[in-house]
Amino acid sequence: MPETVNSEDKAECWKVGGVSVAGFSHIEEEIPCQDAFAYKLRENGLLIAAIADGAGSARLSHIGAQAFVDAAVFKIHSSPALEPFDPDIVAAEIITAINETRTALTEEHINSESGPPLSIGDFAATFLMVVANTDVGAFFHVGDGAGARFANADIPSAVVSKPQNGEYANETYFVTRDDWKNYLRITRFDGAFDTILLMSDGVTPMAMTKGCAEPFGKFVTPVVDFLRNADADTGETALANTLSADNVRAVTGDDKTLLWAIRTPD
Amino acid sequence: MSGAIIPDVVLTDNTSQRLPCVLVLDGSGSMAGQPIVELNAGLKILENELKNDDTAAQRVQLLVIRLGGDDEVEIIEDWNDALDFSAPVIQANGRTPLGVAMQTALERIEWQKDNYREHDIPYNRPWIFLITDGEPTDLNWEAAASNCRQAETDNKVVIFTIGTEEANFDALKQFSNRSPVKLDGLKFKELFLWLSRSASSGSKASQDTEVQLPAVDWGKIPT
Repeated sequence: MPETVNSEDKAECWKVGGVSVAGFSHIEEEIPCQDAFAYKLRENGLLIAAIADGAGSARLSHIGAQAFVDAAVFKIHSSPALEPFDPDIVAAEIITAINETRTALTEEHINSESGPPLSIGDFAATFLMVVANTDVGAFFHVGDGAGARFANADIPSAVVSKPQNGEYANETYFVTRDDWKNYLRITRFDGAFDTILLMSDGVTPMAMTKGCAEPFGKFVTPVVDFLRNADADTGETALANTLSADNVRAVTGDDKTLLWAIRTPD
Repeated sequence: MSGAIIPDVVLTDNTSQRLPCVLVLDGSGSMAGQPIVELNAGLKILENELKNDDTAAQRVQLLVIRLGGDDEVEIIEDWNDALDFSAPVIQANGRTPLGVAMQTALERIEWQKDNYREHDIPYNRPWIFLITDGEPTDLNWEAAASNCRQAETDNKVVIFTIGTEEANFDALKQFSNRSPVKLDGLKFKELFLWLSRSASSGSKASQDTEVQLPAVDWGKIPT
């Protein structure tokens, strides 16, 4: 849901949107979509966006994923002025938001007297956030999925926050671990760019090249061009249909989230 | 507008992710006759099932090891994508060097992991399926069996052991931390159908350390 902003605000320099679609295997097994996303823009043009991917085996990870992104985006959006941009200060705020959410989930669900016994692991999710203005920004990342900042006309110079898996492709790290902060990776970027993408691991196989080295141009360029020129509803609907297309079934049955922030011409 | 997708988008899997599976197959003399015929028919089912699954065809990799002869272990089929896998015909003659065969499987898995890492290929935890109708005839098989259990404990591999009615389950159970399964009669076709469905699930597993395997309808765990 794009934020309504005053046309005088610098926030209008971004075109932001996102979609999450349930994966084929989730639909077949009647598991809800466990991906989530959230974003806000500050009046000074600061982009604040996050995605999370709930662990497949964690029964309430869809609740965890949404709680973590909502809390982190809200925290940054309501923080005092973040200028000049300092990723360490932003990271401290994110850490506070994640830890507060862990406590809130525990109090609301785990310590309640009704319902089945739960642990924080039942809300396990990865986490990927970007906070950026038009000149500088950073990714804040726990687990898999990928973030990319690039100029659509110069993809090889992209800055990427890559997925982090264990030794095995189906293992990753979640913000519900007690030591989750040890797995928080901060990737700072500056320079010329016009596009930022955040994607869950259901999208990285298609949108990134092998090893998530850079965005895969034959996917990303047509998608970004379409989203830049379409209105919000048209763009989101077409992207959701694309991620649900039948030939995607052969790539992955996982949930898919793609969030975009595209610079609009001055 | 509903249903329309973004034009000109190329939708492909760029990851090259792999699930390595090793089949360690008993080709000893006691398998001669109907057992080896059924096992070979099962391998053909495995080939067809995996090839008919778009994701598994690209992600599952198979290595086939035969044990038999004069305590011999041979690599029948070296690592191959399921897409290119051609079911071999296993011969039945000779003895049952289970220890050497499983040790070979463990080594080949570690070499393949090195290969994956060198080429930036993500991989799932490898699986070994050991299928036998007898008992180990090679010396030092117990050491190899111990290495197998340790490799599982160290999270290097998952080992499934399957024995026919005549197999020595006291020996077989030493090769894995999981209980062996006794094959019901000669239900090799059902076994390999289960194996292909398990590999298919495993190749698509995401963010789970426990893969949901299909129910076993071809055997039971001996008490």
